[in-house]
Amino acid sequence: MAPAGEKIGIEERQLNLIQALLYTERPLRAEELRALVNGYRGYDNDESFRRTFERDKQALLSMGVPLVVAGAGADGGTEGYRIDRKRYYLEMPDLAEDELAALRLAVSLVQVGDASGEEALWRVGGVVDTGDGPLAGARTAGPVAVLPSSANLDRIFAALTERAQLTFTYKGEERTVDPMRLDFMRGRWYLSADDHSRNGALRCFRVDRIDGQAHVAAPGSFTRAPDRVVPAPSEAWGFDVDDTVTARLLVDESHADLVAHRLGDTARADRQDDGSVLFEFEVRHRDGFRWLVIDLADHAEVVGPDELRQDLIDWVAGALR
Amino acid sequence: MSRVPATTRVPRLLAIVAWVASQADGVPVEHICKRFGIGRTQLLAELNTVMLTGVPPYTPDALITVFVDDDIVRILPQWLDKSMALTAAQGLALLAAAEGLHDVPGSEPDGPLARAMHKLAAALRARPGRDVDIHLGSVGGGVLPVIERALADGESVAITYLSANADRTDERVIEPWVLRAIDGAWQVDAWCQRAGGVRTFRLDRMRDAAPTGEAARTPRGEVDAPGYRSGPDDVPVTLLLDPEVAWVVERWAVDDLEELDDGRLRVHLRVGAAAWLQRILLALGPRVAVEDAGDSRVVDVRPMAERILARYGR
Repeated sequence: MAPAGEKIGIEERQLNLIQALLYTERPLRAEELRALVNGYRGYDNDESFRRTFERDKQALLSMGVPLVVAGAGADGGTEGYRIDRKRYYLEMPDLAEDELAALRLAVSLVQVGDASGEEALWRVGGVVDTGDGPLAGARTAGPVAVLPSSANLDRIFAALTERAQLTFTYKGEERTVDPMRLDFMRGRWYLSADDHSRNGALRCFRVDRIDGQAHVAAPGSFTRAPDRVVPAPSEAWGFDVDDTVTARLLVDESHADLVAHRLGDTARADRQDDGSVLFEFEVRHRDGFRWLVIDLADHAEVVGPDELRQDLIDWVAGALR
Repeated sequence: MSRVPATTRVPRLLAIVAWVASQADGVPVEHICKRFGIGRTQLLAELNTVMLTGVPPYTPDALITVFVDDDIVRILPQWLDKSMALTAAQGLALLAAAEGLHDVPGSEPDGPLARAMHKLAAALRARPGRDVDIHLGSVGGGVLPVIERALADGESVAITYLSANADRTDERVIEPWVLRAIDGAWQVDAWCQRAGGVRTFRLDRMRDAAPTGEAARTPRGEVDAPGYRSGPDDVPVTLLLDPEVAWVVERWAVDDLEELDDGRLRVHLRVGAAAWLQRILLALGPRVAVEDAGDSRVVDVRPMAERILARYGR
């Protein structure tokens, strides 16, 4: 411990600050911290103390330390600080060595933004190397997927896990929502949420189309039924635009696998004797359905219902007029 | 050993303290170094710093205790006995990586990755596949392991490929260079022996892929950023898109974009494969107009429309 009047290293000072803020039962004012915390006692000059304290505060916030700012005086008027212990201490998932190794492989192959994931691994038990796992052979070539990141994405994830309401501007309109589900598909992030601006109806938002900064309300500002299951966002033909019809699409053998991948488990597939496959699936957006079918050129045929078949014929025939 | 900036040394030290404290029998110095990417000298110096910290009044009983005996480290951490919670960004990075890789065919449903994902998800209060779901791309079960093996072993692969551009199936031998999931599709950048150049192949368009057992002939080189690579025979085309379909350009490699006073979008692009453009023009119908084309055959949708209508007996 450094004697009073002597300045100590930044790491030692910040570790002392974190421990003091964890230990205290009540918010501590900056001046109290200056007097108490080993590392600030060397600062005789008010201004240099203030600058150092501000820098340390920012450093703690950037590490993700849940710093609480609250009234600290008798009248509650003076700003004081403490760390929310419940939010600071990680309920550490008890990860076995092979599980940590699997996570290590995962973050080296699938990245969100430019974060390496290494610092996150430290917090759950460290970086354990392995040679095996899905796609381990592709690892030498760097990540196989880099998912887009943004400050709003982090806020949405925080709101989702903390059951906090979100407010943001979407298509020029302010929306207040209860976040229910976050999906990464087709190379983009989608938020499914109960939209208070639409009488609580479930709506899907593209995260990259949120304007400006999303605001996160206090944790626990809504409740979610534990057994609630929110469906994944639809492909274009499933967008809730038109009446629902069940399409029957016959696809040549050459293109059947491709269509099977796109439809996933939302479709029923019957392989025919000639190798072609008859797919049955729900269509709620005619434009999206037309895109799917025309993209297959003459390797697919809408066999029913008549209205969808005729719609496609009329649309394509329009190009010949 | 990667260099760690000052701003990450404190969180790393907090993680080291919490983890070593959780190991009842202590941990060898080398083990900590490997696990947290830190050199021996640096670790011992930082542990010395840790020993000086604690809570007021900083009497010995209020300080963290660190023992290093026979190269085994033991820590009595006081207030730092548990690791700091993950930030939202870190939690999402770990969960998305685990879910993304778990989504890949061949991942064991009860393997270590699945177990790690479920434990992490429980700690973060986000049910995998229900609250957070990551789908990197669609791919058949058999193709991906073949490409992965060829990448790892430096071998070539014979594929049957359904070309989106030429609208036909053909056979090729490719030498995989880079595997990536982009815009919801798994792709491999590979040297194509027939084309004598690097081409991008979507795995969901491979009807078959089989190892040739032969080593790749072409040394791997740099691969451009993902996207369409224009060729010398590409035709310049200018399209006018109605506002409601302007979104379609988001995934095109366009030369230039211009928003007109009436809200329409003027798009300049180069097209290598007529069939691709013709299908798009047909799907967009009256919402797109061709303003200019270097070769009128490229934008002539009539043959494609006639082929489709023939399928319906028209």
